[in-house]
Amino acid sequence: MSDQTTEEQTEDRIEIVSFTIGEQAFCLNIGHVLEIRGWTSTTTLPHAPEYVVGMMNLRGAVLPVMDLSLRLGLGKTVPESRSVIIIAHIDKKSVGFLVDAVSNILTVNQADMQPTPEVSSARTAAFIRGVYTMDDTIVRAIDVHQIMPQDNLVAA
Amino acid sequence: MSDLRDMFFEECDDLMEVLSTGLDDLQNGNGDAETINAMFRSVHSIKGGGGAFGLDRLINFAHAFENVLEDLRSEKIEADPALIALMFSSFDHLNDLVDAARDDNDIAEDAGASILADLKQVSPPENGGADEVEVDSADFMPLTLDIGGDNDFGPLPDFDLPPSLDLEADPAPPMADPLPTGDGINAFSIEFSADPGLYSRGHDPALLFRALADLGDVTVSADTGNVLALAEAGDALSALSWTLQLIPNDGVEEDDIREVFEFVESQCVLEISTTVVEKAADTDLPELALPTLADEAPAPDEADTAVDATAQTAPQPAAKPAIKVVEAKPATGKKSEPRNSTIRVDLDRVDRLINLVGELVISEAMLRQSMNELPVSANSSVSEAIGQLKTLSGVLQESVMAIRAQPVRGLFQRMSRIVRESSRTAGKDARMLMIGDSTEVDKTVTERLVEPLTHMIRNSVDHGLETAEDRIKAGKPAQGTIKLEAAHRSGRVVISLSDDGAGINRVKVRKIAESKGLVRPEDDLTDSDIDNLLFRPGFSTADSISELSGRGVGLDVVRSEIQALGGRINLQSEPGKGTSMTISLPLTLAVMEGMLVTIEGESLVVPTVALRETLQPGQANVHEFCEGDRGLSMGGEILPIVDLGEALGFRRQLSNLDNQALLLIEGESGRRSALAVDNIIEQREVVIKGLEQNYQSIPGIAAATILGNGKIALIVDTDQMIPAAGKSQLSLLKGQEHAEVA
Repeated sequence: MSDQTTEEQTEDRIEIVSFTIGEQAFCLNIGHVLEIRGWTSTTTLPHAPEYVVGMMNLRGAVLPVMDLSLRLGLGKTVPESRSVIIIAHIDKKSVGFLVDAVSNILTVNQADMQPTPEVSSARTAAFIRGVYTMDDTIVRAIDVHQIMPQDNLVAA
Repeated sequence: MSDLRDMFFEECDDLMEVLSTGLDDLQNGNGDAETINAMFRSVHSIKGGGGAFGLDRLINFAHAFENVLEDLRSEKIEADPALIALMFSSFDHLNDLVDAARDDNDIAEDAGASILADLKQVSPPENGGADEVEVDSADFMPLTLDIGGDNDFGPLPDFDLPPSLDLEADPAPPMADPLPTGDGINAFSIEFSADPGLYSRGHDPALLFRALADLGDVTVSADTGNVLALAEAGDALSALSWTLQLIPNDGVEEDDIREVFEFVESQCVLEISTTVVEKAADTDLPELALPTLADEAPAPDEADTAVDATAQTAPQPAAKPAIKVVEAKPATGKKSEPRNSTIRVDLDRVDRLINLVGELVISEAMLRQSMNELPVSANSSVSEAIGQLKTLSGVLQESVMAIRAQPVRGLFQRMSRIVRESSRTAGKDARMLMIGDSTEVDKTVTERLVEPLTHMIRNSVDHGLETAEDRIKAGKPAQGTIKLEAAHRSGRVVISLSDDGAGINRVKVRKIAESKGLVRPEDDLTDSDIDNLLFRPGFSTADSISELSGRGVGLDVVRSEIQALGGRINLQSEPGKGTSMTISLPLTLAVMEGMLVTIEGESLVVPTVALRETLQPGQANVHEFCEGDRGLSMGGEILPIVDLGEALGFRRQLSNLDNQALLLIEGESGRRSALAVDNIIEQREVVIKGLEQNYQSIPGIAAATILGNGKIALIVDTDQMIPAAGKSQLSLLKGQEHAEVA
């Protein structure tokens, strides 16, 4: 269930969910997105990386919420009532991404994705697969597999 | 077809389990006639199913195995240790054959050849019949084979389908249990009519009847009423049918009779029932003469209509010949133990159900909580209804959980095979002792235990047990014992594997660890530290890499597998006495009693099983030690105090514990400590939600749960909160490796 297959199935056209963190626009393939929810408080996790805000209850399922901004090195998000949690399903795990706002669902041409600019920091290179240019803004495509919390605590 | 195949193999698993249980019983001297019958039926059913899928090797082997069991059943041979050993190897080989067939693998041509030869030597195939059986064993053969051009029997392509509705010749179902015999008053009434196929294959009813005569006193009468003029009849129908009455010799059972017809069972209509001849001595069951088929299925007993009936049943799973139609035995009340009727359900469906019930329980709790906030009088009908709802949802949840729980027997039996195999390979004599194999464990857990346990057993046989000579020298019995034990203990499943071998050679282990750079020569290591070196990656103590273990995977792999299941592994060893490894696993998906506490505004749950006592602030007698360590004085004992908030990283060390409540907990090892928390709220039942599913395991946290207000509370892993001997509280969580295995 990698992006690759999803994207091939829909040939060149794919749908993306775009959202903002601070001033920057990002996107996820819609295939990964289960739903979008308003901010709810979470339960703090001990011994978790700082970008893991805590655990939330999604209709009986317990899933971690990640501060995507912090994960991307853009500073800690202070959750407010306008904040949004994108529930995504990645690598057989469900995870919530805390972002500032969801902007749109767009259909883009897979081929239009440009490589991440060379100026990238290590973190950008690891987490951003590429960018789509929309009018005068660019939308950064997140590499969902990299962005997931890495199993650094258990040797699994 | 693949569905049928799957079903056959699923059924094989069950049958193999029956067989294995029977073997164990025989070995332990608990076997009786019914044990052997059950084993026979299992092998027979596997053979029969194998026939449907053209699994020749399987059939061949099962047949030889079956012959041995048959002789055992008729007491021609005795179940001496040698024979039991042979049957164990046969069981293993049969298992291999089934696995190979399932996965479409080929196994070496000569694999099992010697076992087969041994089986044949014990019970030579009789009267040349054996060879025919292979061809014929399949009552459902017609599902896969066409009937060939030479049998032009008319328009029904599945003409020689097993008329299973009537025939039900498979001895597998318990209805075929031996009938009460020996009192001389029961007789078998046998109705037999042959399909044309029977004749075209060269069978002769007369020969069958003669064979029956060996079993007892036979009276045969032929019904010629349906015989047509030759011109009308053609060759398509055989019109003769017979009614036989057999007064059996002692020990002759219905299965024996069926066996006479075994080779033709797919080409005839056979109905066996018991009747009473002479007077009925002890029975007030007037109609021992049978319920007719009409009770159960619209299957008249004439050959041609039987074919129609069969056509209806054709879509039935081939691997389940045991369609319970002909209940040939009246309710005599003897020996007819009811079979636990089971259905196969997709695990996903069960899981969905479990999740839904879990949510129901949470909603119920939420409802109750909001009820409490409303001004409703306590004895109103609403609160009464809510009370009922609580009870019901509790029971519902328990029942649903029970669906997933499976006895570990199957797992243990697989392991018993590993012991046999690995001891053979290692040239050591070992037996396996199973204790608590009825302990129920979540199915997922048992499945995922196969690999680690296999590895552990190989290790025990290879490294733990000594050779027979060494054992005798050490004054032990030549045969080593591997003990596998399961039990529920303080809300967890504990599985322990112990051997009575030489124990861990700590000097050697240390030397190897030093040579591999795992430890330095000057390191001061306790015995348990050295033992735990075995769990370090890439560790192997075998002088030479043996076939069994030492393939580069060590106990570290075992440990990480167990950890992935949320479990812990523990190792104890005593030189000269043996080694034991204990796996402690959580009961996943279970409901748990817990004490709800708060720390820095976060809710946490401490499992009640570990809880011994609670102390409100000010009640405790706290002593300070250096570096802020504190001890609790309880009944002359000083127990370490662990501030839960600090251990979980929620806060820095508190300057004093005056405002903290203390929870006295006891771990699996019997060690105790006190947990400091801000407030104790209440004791309640919580639904365990695993953290690994969407995240990963967290040190110090066993799982999570959802509270009545929809918030998540973490469940504390109390065992990790109890400082191990000689370890500081911090190393407890940071140096998890040590804490886990200590």
